[in-house]
Amino acid sequence: MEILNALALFTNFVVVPATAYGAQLALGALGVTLIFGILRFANFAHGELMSFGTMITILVTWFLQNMGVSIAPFPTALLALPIGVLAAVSMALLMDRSVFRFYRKQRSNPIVFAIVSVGVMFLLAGIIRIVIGPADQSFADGERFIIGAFDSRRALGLDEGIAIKQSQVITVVVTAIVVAWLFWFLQKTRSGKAMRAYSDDEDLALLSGINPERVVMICWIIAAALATIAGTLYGLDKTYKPFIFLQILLPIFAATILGGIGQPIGAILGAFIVAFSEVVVTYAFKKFLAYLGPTDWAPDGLVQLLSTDYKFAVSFIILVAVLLIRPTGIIRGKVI
Amino acid sequence: MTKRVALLYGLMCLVLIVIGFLQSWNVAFGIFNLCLISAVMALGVNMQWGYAGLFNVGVMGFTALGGLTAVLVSMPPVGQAWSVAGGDIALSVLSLAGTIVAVIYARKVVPPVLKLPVTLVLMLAGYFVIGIFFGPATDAIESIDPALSGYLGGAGLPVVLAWPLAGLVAAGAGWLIGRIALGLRADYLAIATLGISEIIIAVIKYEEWLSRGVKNVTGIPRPVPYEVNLIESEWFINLANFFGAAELSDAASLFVKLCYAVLFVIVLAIIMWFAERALKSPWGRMMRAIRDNRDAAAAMGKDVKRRHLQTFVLGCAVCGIAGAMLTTLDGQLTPTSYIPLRYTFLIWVMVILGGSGNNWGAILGGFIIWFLWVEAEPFGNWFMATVTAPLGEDSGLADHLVSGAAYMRYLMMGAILLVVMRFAPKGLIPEQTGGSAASRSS
Amino acid sequence: MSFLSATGMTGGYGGTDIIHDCTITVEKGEIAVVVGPNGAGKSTAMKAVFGMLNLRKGSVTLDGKDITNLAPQDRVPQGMGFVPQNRNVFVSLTVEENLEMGAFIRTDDKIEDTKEQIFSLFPILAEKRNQPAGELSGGQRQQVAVGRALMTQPKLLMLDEPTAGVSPIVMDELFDKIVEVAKTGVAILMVEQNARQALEIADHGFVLVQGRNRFTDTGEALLANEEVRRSFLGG
Repeated sequence: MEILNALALFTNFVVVPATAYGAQLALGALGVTLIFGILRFANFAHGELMSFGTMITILVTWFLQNMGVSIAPFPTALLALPIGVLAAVSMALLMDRSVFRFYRKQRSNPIVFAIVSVGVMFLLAGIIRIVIGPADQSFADGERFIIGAFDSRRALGLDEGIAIKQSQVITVVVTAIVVAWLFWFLQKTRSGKAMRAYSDDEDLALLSGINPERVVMICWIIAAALATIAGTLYGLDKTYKPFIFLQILLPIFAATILGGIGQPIGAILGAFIVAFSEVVVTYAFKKFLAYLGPTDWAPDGLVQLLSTDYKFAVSFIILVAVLLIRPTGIIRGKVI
Repeated sequence: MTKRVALLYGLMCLVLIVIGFLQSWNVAFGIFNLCLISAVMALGVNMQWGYAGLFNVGVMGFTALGGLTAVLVSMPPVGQAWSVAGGDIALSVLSLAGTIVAVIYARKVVPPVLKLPVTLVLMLAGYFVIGIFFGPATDAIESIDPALSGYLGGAGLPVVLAWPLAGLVAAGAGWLIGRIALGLRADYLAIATLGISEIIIAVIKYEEWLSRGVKNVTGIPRPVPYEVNLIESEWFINLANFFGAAELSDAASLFVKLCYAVLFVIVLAIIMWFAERALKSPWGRMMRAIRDNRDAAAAMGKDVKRRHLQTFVLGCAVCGIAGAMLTTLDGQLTPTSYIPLRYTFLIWVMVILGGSGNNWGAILGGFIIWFLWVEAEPFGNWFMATVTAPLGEDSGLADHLVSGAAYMRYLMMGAILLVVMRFAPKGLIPEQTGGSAASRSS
Repeated sequence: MSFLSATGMTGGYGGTDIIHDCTITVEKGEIAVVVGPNGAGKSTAMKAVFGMLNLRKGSVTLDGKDITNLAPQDRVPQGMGFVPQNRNVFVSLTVEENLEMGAFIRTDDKIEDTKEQIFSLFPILAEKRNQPAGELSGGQRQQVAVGRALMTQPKLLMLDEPTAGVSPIVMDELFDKIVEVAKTGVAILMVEQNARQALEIADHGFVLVQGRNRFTDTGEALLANEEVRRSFLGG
């Protein structure tokens, strides 16, 4: 019984939130890894692209809410999401046409691309803060919990309940669908195979008659779409704050490098490892251990490895460990 | 070439003088001082990027470390905190040292297969042992008069001493991160520095016993006189009268700014002198050779990673010095004010605009970009007000846009960076090349 | 005029010319081999034919059509297939996907047939069709590379040192396959380090020295030529 309580507690505070968070990171990391693989640079504007798509989604959500449109019990944001995706894709393509393409033609050094992406980051950050402002925005509506803590406690007959938020379920379901579609696309379709071929060897792809501009375009479309979905899900699950999207770059990059640069499966794996490490390391195990230990006993401290304030330190430590031990990542990615 | 430098510097001076006449000399010198600090930061980044082609996205972290050093050097020690928690702190330090020794020893004796697990186990064990002493110590420290102190305080030394020390501290952090991330993909360094800067900020923000965290440290002792004392000193009143100052308090604050300006100019001049010497020395030529053709340099027997590490550490040190100067000028350490767009990426815009690889360019870039960053706000307000004027007085959209006007500066910086990278990748004052750098792919 | 006729090619990468007034021709169903000492500009001449080099002088025609100014990727639809020396397969794609990528520009519905033809030409590839090409041995990779190029159904197949780094047995096998391909009516242009073996299967040979044509004759005649043998075939 006590063990079951401990497990329920652990599931409620670690497994469920980490799964949702991992799914959000995975969508972001997939975009970053695709851009790494196809365009061969670290896109520092990716966080702001997420933010931009999410912002449009929020604006449309507000509009729909005002119009009285609702798909209750689901959040209205899901209805607005396609428009956010469309906006982010257009923005990404616009930035590619007006900024990145020039350097591609010049065959510039990846670092030049990265610096240019900083310029794009500034632009997007400015637009976002002018349009929606720097403050927190809430846009979640619909049912909050699928399973409430109270109900699950009664159903399981335990002291500890497992609460599952609707946003968490939506996150996992949407991510599963998107990822399944992405892998189908990459493995089975002509365009997807062309993308993988291009990522493998640009020159040979050119010799095979693969149009690089088309591959790059598809890459941006997918990356921007994934970014918007990730940002919106993150916003529904937590909250939307423009400044968070610069910080979230770190776990996303850590996941990308951990998984192996340019490796979609690696990105997903990396994202879940980062998410679970972050949540486990910052979780206070006091109550959990109290259940497992003898009756009427509880550890003195919180038994928390790291305060939640340092959660990005986890990504960083993972990053450093990867760089030291296996710079190619779990699935051998592009090192040079 | 030199004509161009003189012209651009002259123009920048002229603009500041115009500000002096139009707004006030206090504003002009306020901007000038921050321009000087920005110029030092830009010099640091230019060493890394311009000399060696290293992409450091953690400038903010090294700057903040400098700021923390200023606090730790100059603030008076909190005696009570030391007496309450001194023992525990000492034990924590001992346990840390013990852990390090144990790890080093264990790594020598255990077979290679066990190295990693044993290291991890020892580190984890050490972490818990340190926690036993450290937790109570921090609680004790933080509970002492939290409204006023609640931290250990500093060493009570003159704040100017913190500037070179800040360089050393930042260099140490730079060395650590450089050891790990240099020699791999170029963008790994960028991502790793992004990470370390976030962690440094987190430490400063949340380790209250060290830095008071978000409660901020204020009233950092100045290296220059205080206005309140000045307006009471006879010599200053005479001086002010001599110059015909209308308002004594204005004159005092201007005098303080001037004193800072003198100090900063001295620091900038020293760093500039070293930077230029280094660039023109055989070492500097080798650095550029490595930057322009890494493989060829490596083939000639140059230890590329070691050279990169040297430059990286030097650049970090300069950023740390600038950070300490900034905190000294502000007289306070406010951890929440450290945001990457302002402290990392803005510096990058300075270097790129000024001219990568050219120290004179970096300084000019620091001046121009800081000036624009400051003046973008009134300009943004005016712009938005003009644009939204047709919407009428009580339009919600107009209000919203005007309130967002401050962020026009982000747009402006993005536009500057992109335009310079596209149309003038060598910047305003291009690097003086011996021909080889011209072939650089950018 | 020959099926492929690259005449009077002069050019190089930077300011200096590497090939001078170099002429290479191939007929349909024939194998032409370019040989010569190291640094003779063999590969450069091949790249010039494929448009990877800016020519200052000279012209390239394929099947009577002037293609001198076409970019390499635009020569592929014209019927040229090129197998580079290194990095000639997509390592993370499976063998079958490599072949599919070869057929990327084709829009007809006969792609499957071509794939089966290639599998029957290189049975080992059929066996390993679902394996990533990066996991294959050197000789097998070369087969994938040739197969990939054949998927476009080229009228001219160009091979840059196909036997570099493979064992003599594998080399013989590869040459046999190349002869088989030529028999289907494809013109083959090949740069080879293993000059003797290559000339044995060649209909025509071009001996380049310092970027210029030195000897041009049938493979047989070149092998019989005393001077060629002494200078370039090691006696």
